[in-house]
Amino acid sequence: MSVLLDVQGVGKAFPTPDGSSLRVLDAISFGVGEGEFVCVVGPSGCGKTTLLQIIGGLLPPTDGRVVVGGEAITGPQRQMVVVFQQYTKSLLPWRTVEGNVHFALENLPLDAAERVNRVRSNLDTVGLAGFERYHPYQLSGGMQQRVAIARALAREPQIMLMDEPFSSVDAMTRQGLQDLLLGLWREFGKTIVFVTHDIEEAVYLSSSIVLLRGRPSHAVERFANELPYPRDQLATREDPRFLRYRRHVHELIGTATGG
Amino acid sequence: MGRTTRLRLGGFAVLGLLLVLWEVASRAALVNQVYVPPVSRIGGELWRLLLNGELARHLGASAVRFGLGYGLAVAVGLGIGLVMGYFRAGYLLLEPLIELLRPLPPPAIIPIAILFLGIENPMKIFVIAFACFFPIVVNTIQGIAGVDRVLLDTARTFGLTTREIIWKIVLPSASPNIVAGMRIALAIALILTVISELVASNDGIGFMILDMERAFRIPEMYAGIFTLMVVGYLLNRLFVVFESRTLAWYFGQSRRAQE
Repeated sequence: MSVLLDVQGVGKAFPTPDGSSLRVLDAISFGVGEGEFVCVVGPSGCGKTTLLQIIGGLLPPTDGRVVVGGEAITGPQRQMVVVFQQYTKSLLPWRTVEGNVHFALENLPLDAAERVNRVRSNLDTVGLAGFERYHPYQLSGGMQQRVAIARALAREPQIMLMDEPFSSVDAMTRQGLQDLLLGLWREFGKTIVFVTHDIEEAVYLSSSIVLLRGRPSHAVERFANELPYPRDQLATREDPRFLRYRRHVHELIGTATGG
Repeated sequence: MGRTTRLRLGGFAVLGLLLVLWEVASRAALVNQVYVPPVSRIGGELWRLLLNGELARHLGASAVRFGLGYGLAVAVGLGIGLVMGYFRAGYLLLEPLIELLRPLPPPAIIPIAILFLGIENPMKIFVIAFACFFPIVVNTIQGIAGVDRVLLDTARTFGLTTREIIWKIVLPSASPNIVAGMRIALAIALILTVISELVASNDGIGFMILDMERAFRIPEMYAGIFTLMVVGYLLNRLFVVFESRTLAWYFGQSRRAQE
């Protein structure tokens, strides 16, 4: 498996109001192979979102670099998309569901028919056929996040970066979205970097886990998740290996509750 | 018939009753009949002015000033508001100037405007545009300041250019504020149209009212004032239609948020 995305010694410091600087991330290195589903897990406030923004080219690192397909990135890349946590804010409220997906395609070199085609098929993929003319506010949170996922898929990216995308929906919707995402991942062979503070979510989804800890955060461990696919909300979560991973992650990042 | 409908009809009844009282008071000479002629006579004069085309001539002259002044203010106000709202340098460079001009009561610039532009249409259009400019610029800046970070990041990850971000994200997102500014400016435009015509003119509805008063044609004076009321009312209704069309998504979203 070739390394598609390489995070090399990434650190980030922000200036503080008193003139000094606050270091949030320190020397974080890990590689992501093509087709991997990597979950980056760390406690709340550990800088996971910052790390994802750096990987997505939205924020320059203070030190280190992010290499995609052999080249260090300097800004957002065509082959990557980001799915944000706050779906209510990342969708365009004045556009319909299909308008939102279309938005992602408007600056790609595609003809009109191909755009319409991709809008249709990707909405279908996430189970939103029939909702094309709705506006985001007319949909539930889970459905809005599906629109965001359809929009990301429509660009046919190699890499999907996901920033706690399911943290603001209820538990049942979350499980549905997790299974939807796993299905898409297996079907389309995307490479996914998924940031979360929810340890069980990380163990349930990932093929590989990166653990962040400390202040500033650094990567303490990376291990392959051997749980077999396809995964199942009941069987997988009862698997002794699931429980072992869960305990292991808890112990390493030092949280007992995971909330 | 629902309670709301009944009360609404009642509202018209209150208006009608007042007009009847006016009529009776004037005919019974309870008030000075010269200063307060009966409503029926005012109506008769209004009808005559309508038929002989005089009212149309004055209204037409006012409409040109109003339309050009207001249109100019919307165009320039949006442009400057965008420059100030989106570009930090634009804001810092223009803010002192705007904040110094803004508290000036707009009629106070009429003498300067006459000095440079004369007493014909250019002066009037300038004065109307000047007064309408501020609410539009201030609201545009405020709207742009409220554009969500996540929305801008989404646009950036899709590789949109600054121009595309402005057209597809910033302006639609700020549109509720921009439209609110345009609504305030609409009322101001009507005020300044009349004021500019009172100061120096030989046509326009403002001129007509003053001219009739000077000629002691009091019923015609009232006819002009009644016309202004109706024009103002219709402009407002028209604006409400425009608003509910352009901001349907926004009102839908607000209703949803209150549920």
